[in-house]
Amino acid sequence: MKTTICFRLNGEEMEIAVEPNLTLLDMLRERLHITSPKKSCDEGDCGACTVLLNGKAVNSCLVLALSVNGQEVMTLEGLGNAQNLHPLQKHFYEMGGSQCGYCTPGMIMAAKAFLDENPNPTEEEVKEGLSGNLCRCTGYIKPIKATLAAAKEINEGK
Amino acid sequence: MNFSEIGKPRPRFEGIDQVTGKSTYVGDMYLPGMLYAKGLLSTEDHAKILEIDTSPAKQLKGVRVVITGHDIPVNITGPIVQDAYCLPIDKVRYRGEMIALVAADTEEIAEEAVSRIKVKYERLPAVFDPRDALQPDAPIVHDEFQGTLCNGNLILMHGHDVSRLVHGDVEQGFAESDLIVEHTFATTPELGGAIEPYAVLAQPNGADGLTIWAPSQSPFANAGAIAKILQLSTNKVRFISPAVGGAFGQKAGYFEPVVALAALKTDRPVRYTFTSKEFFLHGSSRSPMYLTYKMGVKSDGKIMAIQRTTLTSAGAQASVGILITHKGGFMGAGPYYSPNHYAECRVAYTNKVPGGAVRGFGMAQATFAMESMMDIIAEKLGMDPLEFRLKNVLCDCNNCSPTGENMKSIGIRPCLEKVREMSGWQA
Repeated sequence: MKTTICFRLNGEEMEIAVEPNLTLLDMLRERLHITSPKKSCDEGDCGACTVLLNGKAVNSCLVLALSVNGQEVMTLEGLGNAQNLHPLQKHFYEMGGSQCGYCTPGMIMAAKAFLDENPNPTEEEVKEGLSGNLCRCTGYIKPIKATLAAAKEINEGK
Repeated sequence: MNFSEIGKPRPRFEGIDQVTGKSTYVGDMYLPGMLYAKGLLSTEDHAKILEIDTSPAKQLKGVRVVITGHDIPVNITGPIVQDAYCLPIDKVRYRGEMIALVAADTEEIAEEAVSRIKVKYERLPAVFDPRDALQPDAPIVHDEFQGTLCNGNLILMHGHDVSRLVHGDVEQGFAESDLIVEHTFATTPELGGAIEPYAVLAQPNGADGLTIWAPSQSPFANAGAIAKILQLSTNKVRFISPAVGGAFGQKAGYFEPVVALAALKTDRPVRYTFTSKEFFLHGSSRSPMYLTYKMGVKSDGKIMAIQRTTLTSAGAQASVGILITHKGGFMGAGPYYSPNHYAECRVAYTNKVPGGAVRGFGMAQATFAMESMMDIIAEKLGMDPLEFRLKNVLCDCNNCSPTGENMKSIGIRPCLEKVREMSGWQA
């Protein structure tokens, strides 16, 4: 049995009928074809599916679609685009924060939620902030540096 | 030193796509009318297949096709030797081997259909350790290739039971040594652990044949294999390897021919996206090896002889295990000079997931053994392990490799010296 939910996705009103067992990740990918949140472990370990739910980073594979009724969801598609990169996107791009790119959307969204809460972090705090996102290519050094550089740019812009 | 390029970040060509979520991996692709595939994976390590009853799956609403090995035109493949069944008919040889494939309207229906397929197995004794596999009473993994591809479980390499490397005379080298050390090392089957699980999308194009998308490192080899298996001419198979979410050697093609056949049979696009669990079960791992190294050294630390015996577990298919065994053999003495070398390398079938390349091609296993030996011997000699290495690295005066090549531009000594300086190494 499906239930119709309404929520905001990257600033736009959405209305969709969902089954009670559908996850937020599967709704975004399979129903809405919003594919930046990636499916990997599908059990909350890898962070590749990270999106923002009311500004907080969540593993969208562990959130039921029904529960986002009336809530605000943001994916990497809503953060910025090629013409207007968010500082996190810009520095991940310029500093080699992505290699194969599969973990990148989740990692940038985790970094976004983290910087919103802690705008002036130490390197240790960034490591903690990104600790829920697995990457097999970069060795984490460049994503950490890109996050610190983005924090600096955001703070200087204020 | 100032460099114009070294030490400066170079943005990736596909970097903007990656940081804006536009990079399209196979699992992100949706085609009109696309079906979803799921495979039935063996729950047995080694068993005869007495019966596969697919009728309960076929009766389920939304199921469009169920494929077993009987449906595959040429049901045998493999990158080096032809010993891999696309879908096995008579027996399964490892846990995780795909037996049947369902394509259905949704992933949920495909999963439900797979769970309804009934397989009657007759369990056979299984062999997991390559040393056990070479015992006379070991269960035989491939009865059908005796004398052609294997003797017992020992896989033939270009027709030979063993790959040998002989340089100088190790017995003389041992006779001239003050210390002889021997150890056996065992390595484990690591996975690359790419964050993107494998996925295949096949689209039928009528008279134009097929387009297949998969995150493969071997698209041309895969296209050729698909053409052969499905009996299509090669110009009817277009293989596209789009964004690849990490591979590390592990993504050299898996079940493209079966998904392609499902697309042809239904005349609809079919996508199979592995779960991570499926990729861990079915995905190739770094081939485990046993490596017995015997080395002779002078009391001043000079290596006189290196003798190596290795045994690779290929898993249930030779896959690239033959090449890995060869390469581990001829590169296994590392960057060190010895006047005398002897190596003997073998590879055996086991009831394990077929091994393959993972970040290296047999060298990781051999390097682990060789560098462990270097530390063990240095300790026995009471020498600084770095000094012991510097004493034996290939250099312009002793530049002959175990395979008889005279090496040029050997950078290992300056590299180790620089690392010693920068790290502040003290024994």
